[in-house]
Amino acid sequence: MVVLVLILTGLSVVFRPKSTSASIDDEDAGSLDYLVLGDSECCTSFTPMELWNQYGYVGYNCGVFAQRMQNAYYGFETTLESQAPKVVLLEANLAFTNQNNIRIAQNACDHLFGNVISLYRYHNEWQNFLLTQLDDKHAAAKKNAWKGFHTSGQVTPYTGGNYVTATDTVTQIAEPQRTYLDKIVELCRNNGIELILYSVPAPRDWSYAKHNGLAAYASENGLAYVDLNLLQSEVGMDWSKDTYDKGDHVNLVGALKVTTYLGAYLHSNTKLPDHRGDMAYADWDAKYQLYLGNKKKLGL
Amino acid sequence: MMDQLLEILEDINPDNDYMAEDKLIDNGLLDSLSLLTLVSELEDAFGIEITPTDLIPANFNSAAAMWEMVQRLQEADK
Amino acid sequence: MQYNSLLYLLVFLPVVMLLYQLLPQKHRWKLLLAASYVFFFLLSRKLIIYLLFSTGCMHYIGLWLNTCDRDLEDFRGAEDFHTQKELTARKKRGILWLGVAAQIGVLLLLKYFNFVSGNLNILLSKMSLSFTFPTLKLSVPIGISFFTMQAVSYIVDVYKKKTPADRNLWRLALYMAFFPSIMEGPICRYSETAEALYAGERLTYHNITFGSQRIVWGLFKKVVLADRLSPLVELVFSKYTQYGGITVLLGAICYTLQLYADFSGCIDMTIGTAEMFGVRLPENFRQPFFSRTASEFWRRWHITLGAWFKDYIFYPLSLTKWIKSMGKKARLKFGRHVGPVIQTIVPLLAVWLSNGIWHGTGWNYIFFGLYYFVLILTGNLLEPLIGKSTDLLHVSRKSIGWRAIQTVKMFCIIVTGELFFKAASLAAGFAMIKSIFTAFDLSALSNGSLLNLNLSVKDFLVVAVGYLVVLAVGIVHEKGIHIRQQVGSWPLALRWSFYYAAVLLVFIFGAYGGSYAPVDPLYASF
Repeated sequence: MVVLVLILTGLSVVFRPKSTSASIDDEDAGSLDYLVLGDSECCTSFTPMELWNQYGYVGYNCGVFAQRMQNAYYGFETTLESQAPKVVLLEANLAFTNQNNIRIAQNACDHLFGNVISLYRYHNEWQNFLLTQLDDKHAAAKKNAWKGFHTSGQVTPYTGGNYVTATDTVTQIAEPQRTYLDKIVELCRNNGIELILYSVPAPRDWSYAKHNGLAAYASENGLAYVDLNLLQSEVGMDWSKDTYDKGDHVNLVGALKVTTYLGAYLHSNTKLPDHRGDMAYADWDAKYQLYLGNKKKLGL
Repeated sequence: MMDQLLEILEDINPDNDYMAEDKLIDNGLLDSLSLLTLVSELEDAFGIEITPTDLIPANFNSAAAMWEMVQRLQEADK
Repeated sequence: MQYNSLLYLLVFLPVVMLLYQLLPQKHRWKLLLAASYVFFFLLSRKLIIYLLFSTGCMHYIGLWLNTCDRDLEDFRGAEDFHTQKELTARKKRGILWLGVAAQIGVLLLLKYFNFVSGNLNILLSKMSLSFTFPTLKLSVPIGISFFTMQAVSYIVDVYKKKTPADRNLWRLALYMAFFPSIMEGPICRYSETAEALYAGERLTYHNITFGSQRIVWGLFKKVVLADRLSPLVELVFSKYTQYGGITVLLGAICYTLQLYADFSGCIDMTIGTAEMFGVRLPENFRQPFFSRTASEFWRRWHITLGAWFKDYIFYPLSLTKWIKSMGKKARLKFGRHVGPVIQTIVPLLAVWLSNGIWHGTGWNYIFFGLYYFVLILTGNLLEPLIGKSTDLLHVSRKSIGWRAIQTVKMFCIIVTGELFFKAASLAAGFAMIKSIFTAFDLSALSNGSLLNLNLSVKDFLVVAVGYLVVLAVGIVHEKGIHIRQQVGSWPLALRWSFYYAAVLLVFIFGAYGGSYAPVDPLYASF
């Protein structure tokens, strides 16, 4: 048994995140200035390459489909081992999605175990040094060009009309989401990261009561909260064109609008550096070309 | 009388050695169709009624067990 | 919690094992019971009352049946013994049906109420009636399909006097709730597993090593193979309208393989865990893809389910008076072969409808059951015809060629059945089958489209190699060789290298972490 543990820890040294995977681990250590965290509302709504083109901002979309606050926190904590962003955007939908206690316990277990034996966390790296002749580097590069953004070019309109009706009801952020949100806030505070909460226009998931809950949390913790559901005309949302699943998530067109608005917000409210022309970020220009190709394939 | 039983068995499925075999059910040597035919023939030949309760491996795993069951059922009817 | 989670493997199980070993023998079963209830409660919370109800009901019914038998004995030798016997038999039948109805009734209500009321509503609306049946918000506890069947088997076995009723409610509770088998079975018979559960045999080096090896094998199948196929399967089946031809075929084959690896892998973990506690659970899989007929398949796949249906539905129905007389008449009219087959029509239909319904609420499941009903019935009917044709063509049915053809044919049948099993609906299933043929395009094999289904080339390689290993193990098992014993006889260094390699393989090539979403055990939702 002891020997097994020794072998596992030994191998853990070998299995460190490598650079050919199309994930955030592909980014050079310490290169990213901002991160976007959240669930599917996040990863379908924010495309970092637009901000590279418009402002020279360097960042990554860390959103994961169906992610819960607990795993968002764990993922964020792990990412901070190799990145030092100055700004983090958190799509706050996952403040209101919960999971059962067993899942939470299992996730916590996995995280703890991964801290001790990192082989557990990074075992998928085998893909990067076994049979590398089979790797399609070009496909991987194209995938990386999205910088974590997932999208669809389809259009299936949301036809439910106006969904923003003011109310005084407040949907509280329940446990354990609250605890893990607090942990994210604290992690940002301890690392000098500016945390900005935001909500993507989402007729199906958002509610004014949830807005109130988030606004209250934001003001308690001194955080900015940008709720795009209340800024739809500024963003330019058109529900007959901007969603691929009847309003659950925005499509490419919708995401471009959201990103443009948030980019402008970041430009006016943060001091993110402009890295255009910086030799260290030359790869971003190359990736931008691939990104344009990706967009073209989806009709834009 | 036991011969009659053996004859019925041979008729249904000649592949088995009914004198030696004692795991006819456990080893799947008599399939369900054979078993149903067997039940019907035994009922006709010996004037007994075999119910689902009697359908346990202990009663059908060997020719000897079947014969015992037949005799028991004949007794019970009296 | 999942059997393949660290929480279970590194926390729950070791704690239970430690406490088990520390307790004196006669109290060990109580620990297993407590652990099982904790396990159940963690997963289903308040719904534990259904488990308690089921257990209490079967306990009481069992005792009542035994009381009837004992009371009858008072009359033995008396004049009216015969009449008393009749009365007792009738009374016992009533108790039996009460018990069975209570158990199955709860299961049917929880699982099928909404399906039935939903369909009735469709019917009513078609008849332009405004009445609608309500849909209830019913939560289903974990394992209810499995433990209900165990409860019914216990009641029937007590009725048949195969086993005496257990006077101890809590020992019965352990039989029902035993944590390794509560989620996905195997469906155990009281007379076979109860004693070992209560024996409290101490943990031995042999049991622990053999048991944990089996667990690792199960983990390999579930985590490395099944979970790796999951993204592809989910994609093809959820977006089936976008795919056709070879892609859909691939999806169906991958689902079949995933289901096997997932279910049999979890069963391996279950049996391995039980083995550590000295409890031998029945096997549930016996190289199912080596089957050559549909009947054989159901003796090799989910064995305990097939056995349950055979013992508690097929034979009891086949031997009821009117089915027996139907059989006799059929034998006279249609001969010695067709006659018995006709006798089996109603029982088989009952079994296969039950099988379909047991698996889930949906017309595609009912179709799945009827699919196998038709296959098995026609297979039985055509038996002699096939025999005659092969004789005519001088083909030996024992030849490798013939057996290979039958195995391949059976594989196609299995995959088709599983496609309907997984399909979003019956209509979706038919659409998918149709699209295999209408959109069949061999170029899909070379144009790289098959690599856009969430699985990379390396993933496919791991799957291919992995299933070859599974096949090899299957062949070895089919020959009756006991792998763990063989490995156990190897020299120390070789043995331990083998074990470490196995564990490492699971660690490294497992489809978990990163972007992999956790996959719940597939059969736990039935």
